[in-house]
Amino acid sequence: MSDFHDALRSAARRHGEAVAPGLTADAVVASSVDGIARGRRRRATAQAGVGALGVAVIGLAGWLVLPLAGVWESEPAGPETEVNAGPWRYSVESEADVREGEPEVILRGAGAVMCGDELDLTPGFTVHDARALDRELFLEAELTTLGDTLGTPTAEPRPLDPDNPDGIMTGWDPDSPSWRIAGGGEVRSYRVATLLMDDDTVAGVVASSAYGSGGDEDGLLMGESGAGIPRIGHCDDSLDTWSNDPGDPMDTRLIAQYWSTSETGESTLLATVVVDPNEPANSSESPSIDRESPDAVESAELRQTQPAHQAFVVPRPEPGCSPLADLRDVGHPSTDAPEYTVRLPFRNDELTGELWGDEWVLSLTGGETPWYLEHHAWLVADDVSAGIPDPHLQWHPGLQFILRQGGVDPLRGDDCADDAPIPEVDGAVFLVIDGVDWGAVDEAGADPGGDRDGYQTWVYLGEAD
Amino acid sequence: MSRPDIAEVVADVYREAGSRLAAYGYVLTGSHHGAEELVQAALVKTLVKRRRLDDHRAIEGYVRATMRTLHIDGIRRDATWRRLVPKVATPDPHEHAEHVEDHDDISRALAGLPPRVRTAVALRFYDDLTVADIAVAMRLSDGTVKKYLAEGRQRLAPVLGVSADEPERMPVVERSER
Repeated sequence: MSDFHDALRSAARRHGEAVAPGLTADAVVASSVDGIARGRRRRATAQAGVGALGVAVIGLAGWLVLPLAGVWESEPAGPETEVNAGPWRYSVESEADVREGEPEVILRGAGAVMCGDELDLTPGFTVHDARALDRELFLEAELTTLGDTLGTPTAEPRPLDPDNPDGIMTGWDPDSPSWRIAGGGEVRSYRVATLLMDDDTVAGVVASSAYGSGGDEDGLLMGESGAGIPRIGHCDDSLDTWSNDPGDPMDTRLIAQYWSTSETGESTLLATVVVDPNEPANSSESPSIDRESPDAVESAELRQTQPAHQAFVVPRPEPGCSPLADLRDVGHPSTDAPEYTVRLPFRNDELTGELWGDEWVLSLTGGETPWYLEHHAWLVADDVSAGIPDPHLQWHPGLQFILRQGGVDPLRGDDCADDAPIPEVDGAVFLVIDGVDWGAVDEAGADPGGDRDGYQTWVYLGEAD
Repeated sequence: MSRPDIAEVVADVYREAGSRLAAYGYVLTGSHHGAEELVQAALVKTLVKRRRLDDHRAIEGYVRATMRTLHIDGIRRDATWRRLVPKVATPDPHEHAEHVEDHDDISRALAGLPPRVRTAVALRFYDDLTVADIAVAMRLSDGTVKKYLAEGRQRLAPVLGVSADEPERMPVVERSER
């Protein structure tokens, strides 16, 4: 080879000849062309209809408003400044979590969704292959704004690409709606897209992001990303600007699909999840792949003891959206946790399923100065219907020291959804105090050994029902 | 004149220009699967807009231009979202460098290039665009394009059997095959 051009062309030619025989889906391409054309014609017809209807409505409004002209000062309607819905979390952990069925939509390859398609989309996971059940597939989503996603929007729109300040990404609007998503599983690849729906008809498409194992093998993939909102008629699969009159985000459906590799090496669609922003939120945590589940442990035996309470020394977890509830979920306090006893002067000794209201939990009579006074404290229960599962408590000095819900939670991450606790709990309930009565621990001979920093006391209060 | 059947047009384009389009897609994406998807997507887009085209040579030109646009838009879209949310897992190589065909050193070298570098190389050494034209197409500065080209040349030259330092030879007349 004597020349870079010729060498590259020669190499590419060989590969082109290898690929060309695979370009045989003539009927597929042709039907795609026809499908898009049909969709465009349908949209054009619909928009013409909407235009005519709009003229009629404006005409009627004109008649109605004319007598009042000069009385009302009207301003042009501005764009929606806030868009927030969710968060949602969908996962495939057992057959009970999902439906089985054929895919209602395909996001890539031949037959990929396009404008004009009529779809019947059902929120949640639909499994298309039984192998999806043991892949830890999940999708978390939240409808928010670009400003929320970027953290601190500036007062003025700014270029997204500093290397390209005059590019098409310039002038993005922090209030522009956007999906924030996290997803993954043990797959070969997965893909997320946003569809703008006009009733059951696809009126806009943005293929937002895709992740893959990089080969023919499945692997554990997880990723966070965003997904734009298409405008009506945005059908070419690319989002070319952020502020180009996006469609109503509540008319969008977020779709994720997960592929695996079959025994013959083919890419196989495992499952589809549909997120509908009109559905009620089913999660308290914003989408994130950073949450690491603690390892499962063997739970300590819990005993109802009065007047002293069974207490365990548990390492303080890292901040998160529900770090203490996560520990409880995997079994803490464990059989390895040092155990001692704590005396708590409760006013209300009865635990019910309605413990989480804005009520005092523990009161101390004046003059008492127990070791846990003004330590951070939380409540944790086995089962919480929704909301924050491990609410932080707040000390209130007064005639009595009252521990009530509130205060600044040092274990709660900044990006967690700010949901209120829900007063429906069940199972074992713990009062977690951010500290340890080491004198009592030593007396009980339950020293965990080593450094004594970074431990909490989990006080078993009893069973709520 | 009656409009030709779309399936016939597609078959004609594939038969007459399929390997050239696929080769171009391969240089752009660094993978066979990526090339195949890019060609098909560009052909659909071209035919939807220009259904009256019945000359496959004209269609080939439009398809090539559409492939370039789709590919560059795809890179930009992915890069934007990675910038928005930096905690992103490995982007799907099935999208731009579909799986790395283990055919030869050139395949591996091409697939191993960053997408923007590979695209700049394709536009320069396959499309014969000038640096200024590449900068416009990719919406980058001339300096950035030159940096990408230097990197691409440095990494591809050894496997192509040419010197990375060899003076670049550009045709002084337009290539007839284009």
